[in-house]
Amino acid sequence: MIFNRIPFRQRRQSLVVAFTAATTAAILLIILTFFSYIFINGIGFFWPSNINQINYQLQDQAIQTVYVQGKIKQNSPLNITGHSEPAQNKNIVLQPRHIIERGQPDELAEVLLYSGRKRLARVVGFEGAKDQQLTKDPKELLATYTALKYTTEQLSRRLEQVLLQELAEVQKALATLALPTTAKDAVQKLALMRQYRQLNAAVGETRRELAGYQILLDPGDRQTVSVPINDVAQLSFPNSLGWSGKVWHWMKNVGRFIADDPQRTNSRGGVFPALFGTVLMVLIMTILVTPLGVVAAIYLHEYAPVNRFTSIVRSSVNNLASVPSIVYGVFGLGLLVYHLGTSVDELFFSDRLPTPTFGAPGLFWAALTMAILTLPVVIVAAEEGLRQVPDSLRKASFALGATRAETIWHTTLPIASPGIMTGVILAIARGAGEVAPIILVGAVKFAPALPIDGDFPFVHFERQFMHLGVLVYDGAFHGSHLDQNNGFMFAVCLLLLMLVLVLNMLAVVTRTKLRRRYAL
Amino acid sequence: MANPQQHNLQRIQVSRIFRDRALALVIRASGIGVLLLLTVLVWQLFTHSLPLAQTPKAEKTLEWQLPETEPLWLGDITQSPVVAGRVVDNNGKQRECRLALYTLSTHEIQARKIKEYSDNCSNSHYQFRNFNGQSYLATMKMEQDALTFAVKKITLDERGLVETSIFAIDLNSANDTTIGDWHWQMWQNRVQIAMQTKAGWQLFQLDRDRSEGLKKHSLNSDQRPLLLPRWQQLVIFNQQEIGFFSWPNQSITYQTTHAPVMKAWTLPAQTSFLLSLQNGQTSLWSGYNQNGYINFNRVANIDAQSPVLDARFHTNNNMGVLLHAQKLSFINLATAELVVQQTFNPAIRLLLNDNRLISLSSKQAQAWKIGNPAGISTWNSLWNRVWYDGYHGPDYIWQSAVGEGQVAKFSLMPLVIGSLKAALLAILVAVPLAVSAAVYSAFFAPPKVRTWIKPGIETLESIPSVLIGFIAVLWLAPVLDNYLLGLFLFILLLPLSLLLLTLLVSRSSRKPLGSDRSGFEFLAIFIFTGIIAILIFTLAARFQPSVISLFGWLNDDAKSTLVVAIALGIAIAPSIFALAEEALYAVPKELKQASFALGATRLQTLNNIVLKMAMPGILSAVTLGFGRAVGETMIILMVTGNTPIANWNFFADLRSLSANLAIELPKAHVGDLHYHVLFLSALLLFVFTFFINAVAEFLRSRMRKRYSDI
Repeated sequence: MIFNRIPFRQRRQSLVVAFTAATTAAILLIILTFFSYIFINGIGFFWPSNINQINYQLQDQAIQTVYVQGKIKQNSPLNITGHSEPAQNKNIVLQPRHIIERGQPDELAEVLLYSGRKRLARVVGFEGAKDQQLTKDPKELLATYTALKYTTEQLSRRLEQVLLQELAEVQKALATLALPTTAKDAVQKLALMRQYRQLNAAVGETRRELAGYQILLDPGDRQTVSVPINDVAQLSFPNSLGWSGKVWHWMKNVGRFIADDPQRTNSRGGVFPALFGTVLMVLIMTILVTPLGVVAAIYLHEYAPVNRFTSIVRSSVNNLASVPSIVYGVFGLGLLVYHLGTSVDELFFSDRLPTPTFGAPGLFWAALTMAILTLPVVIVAAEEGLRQVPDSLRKASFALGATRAETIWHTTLPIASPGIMTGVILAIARGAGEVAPIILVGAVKFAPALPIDGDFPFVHFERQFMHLGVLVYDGAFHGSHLDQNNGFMFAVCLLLLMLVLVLNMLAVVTRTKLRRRYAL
Repeated sequence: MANPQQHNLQRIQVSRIFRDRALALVIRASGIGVLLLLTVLVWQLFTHSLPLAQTPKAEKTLEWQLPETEPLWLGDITQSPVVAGRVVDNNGKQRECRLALYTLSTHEIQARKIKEYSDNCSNSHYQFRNFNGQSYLATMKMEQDALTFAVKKITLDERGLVETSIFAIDLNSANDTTIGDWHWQMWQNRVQIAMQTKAGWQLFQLDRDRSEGLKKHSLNSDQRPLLLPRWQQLVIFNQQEIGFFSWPNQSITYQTTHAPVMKAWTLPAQTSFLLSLQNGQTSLWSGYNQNGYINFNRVANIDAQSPVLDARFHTNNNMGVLLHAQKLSFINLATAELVVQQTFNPAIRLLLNDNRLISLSSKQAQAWKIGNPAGISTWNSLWNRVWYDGYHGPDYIWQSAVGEGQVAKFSLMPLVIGSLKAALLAILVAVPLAVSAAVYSAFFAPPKVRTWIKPGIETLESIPSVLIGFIAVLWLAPVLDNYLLGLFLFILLLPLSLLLLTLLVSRSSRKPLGSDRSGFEFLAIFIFTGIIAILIFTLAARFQPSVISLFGWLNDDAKSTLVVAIALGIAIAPSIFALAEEALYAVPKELKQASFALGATRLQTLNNIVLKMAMPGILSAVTLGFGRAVGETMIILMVTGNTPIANWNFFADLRSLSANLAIELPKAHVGDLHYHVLFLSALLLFVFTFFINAVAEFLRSRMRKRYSDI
């Protein structure tokens, strides 16, 4: 009897174990899928994939050509969607039977424009080049392009110089002389007018000259399209690149992504302002939160009287750590921005009113809000660290004649430092990833003006800033599943994810290092 | 003589003690300061919500002297208050009248004349009206035997009054040319005009852009009209009877009132009106469209205990101000409740613009500031079903952005229900996953495996929720259609396949699962689960098109519900896992060993000892997870459609309190009712999560006590 029951019991246990293990595995698989999905899409965005040339024929129509980037599955329908070519902006589903021929000729180019658009095309030639090119060799084409690009860059720099400086100066001078009062002024005005006309003519000339440099593209079966070289951000021939060339190209793309300014559409270009904004905000937050949190923790643990009230305060602080982040955002907007900010404006920036300076969401308020949000985290972690310092050590320090201040400074704090550092870094990681409060208090989706620049006072705490998380949030509203721009958003996601994970890992490493150093 | 060394030492001692004291002072001060800063948070949320519980109050700020005129109209022209008054010149027998416009500027105490029209002495040719933020001037004049009605748009700028002609029409009512009182009303292009003649009121309706289509209607001499051009309606008062005349249907229906109607005011949306009865009662009537017929109902009685002389409405702030002989009543327009009354100087007319109230008596105009306008909200307006204007019955509605003239609807119920719904969905997904994983990690897994599982799952906790939301929106939501079948099958088939696996294992091995200490077992199950998942999902995706009708009942809202449940569930699962795992792991070893020593299997020990001991801890973990889900903002904001619906149907869209704050707070004007209601919702979130945390903390302390009692 009993022998019969044992296997049954065992089987039941096996089932429970298998089930719990499988759910654990399921969670881990979800996490794995999540990471790898972001990773593959984010990394893949920079990869110069090959361009396929597909010749196809729909019923009773002429043979047409389309260029498609990326891997193409054999024997499965092919969706041609959302190409940035105006004429190709149609949705066709190509069945395998429609496709007549496919190939990856070397001379197919990927042309990125400054407007954020991408064209896949065959480079036919250049306007403005010394000799009309008929070559198909990507290397020669690229060399010609580089030479022409250099010329156009020189020209556009000159244009900018004239427009922004010389012409602007003349205009300013003209504005002051708008109503000439004396004959001398009138003469001066005439001279200025002449100068203005000359400069304007020069601008027109340069513009015409710039327009003379064009790249001729064949985006399919149609006539050649010419695109001003000045509008082209990058020309590449992914099919002609070898493995090493592709890696180099990929690295260049990554570098550009991190270091460049965003394009208007937030779907191409770089994310430097967002990365910079995130890091700067987190930095200010850390500077604010660390001393405050540590001091509060020292007070709570070392100085506060041991009574019921203190323990209520302690558990309240603990509870504050899990108050929804949006509530802190509401607090930041209501108290910091609207109340404090308005008062600051009235005191120090009254000359700029009613345009608010600090009375509107901005970098400093965002950092302060995040500091208050992470304050409970730091206090709890730091107090936990202080609690781990054995009382005997404190007593020994007192016995040696040290004052309380000396005991704290030389004994307690160093030993508690792993806990404190963990708290601070966890706060940083949370600060980098939290989006809900900062969309209320200062982060916006597009603010190319960095909070730090060459204008006095160099650091502009009141400016709105860009944030990686806000970029992701915004991208989710404007992207769609099939959109090729998603690659960009995934790259942003990956960057944010790496930032947060690196910070978390840093917390772990610091903790172990400090623990080893101050091991008891 | 003191040894210099000793002296030096003494100095060091003094400075040490000084430093000690200074540090103690600094730390005490700043420590208490930081803790106070956190109390400021609570205090601020509280004080910003408090105005909702108080009442509005008008306080006098300015006073203007009016010249000797008989005030006829008080209104805004381009944001500045203007009085129109009749000036009478008695030169000899001839009485000559003029209509003069005076601006009330905040810089001057004397009203300044800006314009004068020559006018009729008995009833003015001119009528002003503010409509949709614009001011209009209508004239009704006999010119060459034709009765012409003309409307001009009027604005004020530095040059003075600017008139722009809009339209003019020949009413040609003709034979009876002696016009008594007249008034007009308009809605977009539609204009209604009421004109008193000897025979009774003559009524006209016209489209100002089209010359033809003038419709007429006449009333008996004892009937009075109220114009409602928006719905082409007329309200006709006759003693205790109210008639509703519909112009398109040419039909009339009657209702009765308790007492004869003294006066009536149309609310800005022209879908409801306010009646002041002779017995001092005031009632609010509201209409809704039912199959082309407009049904008007009395939605509320306002017991102001005194007849109303004038009424003004600020609908977007839910505020109505009624002027009585000696007092002022503030009513909430959403619920039509009398909020508060205050004594007031005698006046005949009112003007309400935002929080500025102007009262007009025959010689004076006074400006009042309405303090605490958010106090107009009542408990009913926030928490009860309210029969809003244009709706078929009372309901919970949150609609803060409304059209001009509409009443903003601030019922918190849809948001609270939305938050709870989302949190419950998340709990439904997260708890089985997290607790089951916690049981495995804390109880079954060998230590080596645990060191991998625990940090592995806890990394998920540090992932910004915006990323989870992003993936849910851009990947999960679009592909859900393809994998819906797979998901259901996976949930069904995984336990079955595990059952098969255990049967196979018990066939081949004498030891049950859970005895392995090398980690191989977990690896095997991990791979097994992975393979099963891939198999089921790829196979199901292939069959999906043929069984798509199976999921036909799942509309888009239902799918987004599923996505919310999955995304939010995954987001809160790691925190539930971490706390539950900790609780399970901390069950004293002695107990487990005693159980094993008595011959219990691992499963029996789990059921009878570990789970029972750790139950408060697990509950605390679930509670905290619930709190996190309620407060989570980004995922809900990104994944759901953010439609506030007060409906417990889980397959309907939702908007949570937190997402609502993120959407609406940046747009709310400081000091408005909307702003304060949003703060109240933030306070609610705060109090709720604080309470949830306190409960969780209590449970945890009970768990700790249990463990230490052993």
